Amino acid sequence: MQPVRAAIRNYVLIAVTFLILIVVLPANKLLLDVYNLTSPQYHTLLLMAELPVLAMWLGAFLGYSKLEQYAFKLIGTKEGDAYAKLSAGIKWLAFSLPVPTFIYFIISSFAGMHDGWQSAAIILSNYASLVLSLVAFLKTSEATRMLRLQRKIHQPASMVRCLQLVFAALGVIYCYLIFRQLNLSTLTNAHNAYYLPVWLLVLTQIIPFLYAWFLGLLTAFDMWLVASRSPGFLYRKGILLMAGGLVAIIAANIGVQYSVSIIPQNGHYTVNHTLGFLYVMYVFSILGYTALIFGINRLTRLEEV
Amino acid sequence: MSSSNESLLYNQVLRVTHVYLGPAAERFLLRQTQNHLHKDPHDITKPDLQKLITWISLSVSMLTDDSEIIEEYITQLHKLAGEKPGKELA
Repeated sequence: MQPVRAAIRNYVLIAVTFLILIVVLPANKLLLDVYNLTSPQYHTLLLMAELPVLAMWLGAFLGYSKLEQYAFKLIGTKEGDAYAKLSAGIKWLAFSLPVPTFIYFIISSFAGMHDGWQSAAIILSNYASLVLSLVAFLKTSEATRMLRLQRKIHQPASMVRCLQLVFAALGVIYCYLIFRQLNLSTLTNAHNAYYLPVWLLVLTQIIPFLYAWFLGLLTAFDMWLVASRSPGFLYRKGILLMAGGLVAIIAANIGVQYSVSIIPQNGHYTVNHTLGFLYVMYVFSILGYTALIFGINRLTRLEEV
Repeated sequence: MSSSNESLLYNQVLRVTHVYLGPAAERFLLRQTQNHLHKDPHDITKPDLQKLITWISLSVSMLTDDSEIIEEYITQLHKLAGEKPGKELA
């Protein structure tokens, strides 16, 4: 029970801190004017808007702790190392949710008072999101690759080509949507929504993000292959649920990062289709973590009876 | 010769269990034989298998409500024990 208790403790700490920040940090003056809100109304609405985010974080923390618990039961077995790596990756993915949010939230709250803090908020939160996601997907892709190779499962050529095509399409669309916001006449121009020179943006954001998402897609693909070809009627029920959850989590994570990257952040919520899309991704993520937890519970039972 | 017969019996039981529990089969059998029979899984004999089937039946019923699956699994194990399915031990 220890990993779960520790994860819940971490979540409560993060959630309470976040709720305090929502209440305490100064309201965005532009948003107050645009939507004709008082400060208490702003804080109340912001609190309600962040509830799905908090639910997603809870799912993420419970998810990684359950996976950690399962991996602990498999220590010394053939699959032990792979599941340990997978649980570590999902843990990094879980922390990649609140950390950039905290950074952006805290710094951008003071952006109205101090020039330049909005740019710092965007730059730091983007890099935090990138680094945490990259580490997470590096670990998870290695873990699922280990599981696949242990079971001697080969990636079907046709499915690999589909995956490559999907990634190429998403990558090209992503680059187009970013580049159309940039002044490409000079690579050193930092007057854009990302507050970075174009060359630095390409080398340290665009390319690494695309690589991280590729690793994420590979993780989802390999996990689905392993689950769908697993022997054992009862075992397969658990691992399919787990794999389905993982696919949903990765897809939602990539979806959120994708939309947040291509739409310049302006320091406040704007009620439009992008926000709607983000909330759909949050719900998808919550469902994914729920499926992951149920699947892991089934697999854990197999190791306990 | 007898130890290779016992090992053969274990492999047969493992093969049947693998159909239902997949990669968890070996660990499941290890727990069942060590906790309930207090012996190494490779040392199980046909008389041991009778007791083991009872424990396996109890354990698998905690994993699934699907009585058809449980019955199918236990039937396969009874065949290995040379028993007719449904014969209960005292």
